[in-house]
Amino acid sequence: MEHHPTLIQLPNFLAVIGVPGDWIPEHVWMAWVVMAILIGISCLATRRLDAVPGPVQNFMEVTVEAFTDLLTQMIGPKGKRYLPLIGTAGLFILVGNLLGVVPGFKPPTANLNTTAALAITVFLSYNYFGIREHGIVAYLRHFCGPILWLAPIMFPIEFIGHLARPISLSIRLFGNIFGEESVVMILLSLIWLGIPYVIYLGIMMPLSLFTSIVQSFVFVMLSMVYIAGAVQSEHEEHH
Amino acid sequence: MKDNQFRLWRQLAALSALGITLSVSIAIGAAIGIALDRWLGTSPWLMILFFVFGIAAGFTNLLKDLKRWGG
Repeated sequence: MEHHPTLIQLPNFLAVIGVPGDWIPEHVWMAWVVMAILIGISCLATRRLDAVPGPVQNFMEVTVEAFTDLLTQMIGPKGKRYLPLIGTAGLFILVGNLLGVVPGFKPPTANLNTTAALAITVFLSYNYFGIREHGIVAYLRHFCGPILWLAPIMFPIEFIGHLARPISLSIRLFGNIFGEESVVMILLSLIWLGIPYVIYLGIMMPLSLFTSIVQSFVFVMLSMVYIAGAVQSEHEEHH
Repeated sequence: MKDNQFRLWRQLAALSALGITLSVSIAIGAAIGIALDRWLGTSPWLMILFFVFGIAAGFTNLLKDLKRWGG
């Protein structure tokens, strides 16, 4: 399988810090592209806030409202304070995944480094939110389960279960997007009477779009479930 | 109807984590066991113990998630 580089490559100006290689690694460069897109659209949307919004501001308002609705449905009325983390993670993953559908670009989430960074951020964040909400002793008591003298058995079990979450988050996103991108690369490197191109356009493109959107949604949903589990007090009803 | 649809997507998101959670929990249990064994030299008992912990953790989380999101 040949290595198809992206359309533009940046020379490695970070070599002074010790980054190896002649070029900036592709997932880093593509992550910068995603950041530029998000920052650009946000700046365009908020440059002049009208009461009757123009198209870009309207679009961003719909997006923010969608995230806020999800948050208040999952976490309750206090959910809005987690909007920066969830919104940024969700939009970064969504735009990053969709960037892979554009020819000439590689999705930054197709690399385990990016997805692991996102998953570890969410993991540390939801523990921090739990500690901030309940205090560290009460938060650790959640780990010990309802019966107190079973705590030496329950604590490692809960701990391992909690450690499984960032790993599962990162590997799921990485596997889906890397697999989809690999299939596309292989399809495009076959020259077989044009049949692979038909398969690419007819099957892989819609499938790529679908899995990109679904995987970003799944990541955001699971992050919200974890935050809700950490922040909700025990007598509140899970629904 | 929209809320019903939303619940389905939520179920999809939570249930899609089940398989990988089970296997990763067992793997983490075994990994912690092996690492502690190398550090304390008590092979293979600590690895077996944490392997069992991993299995317990995996199934506990599996049943908890199924009960909550089973539908």
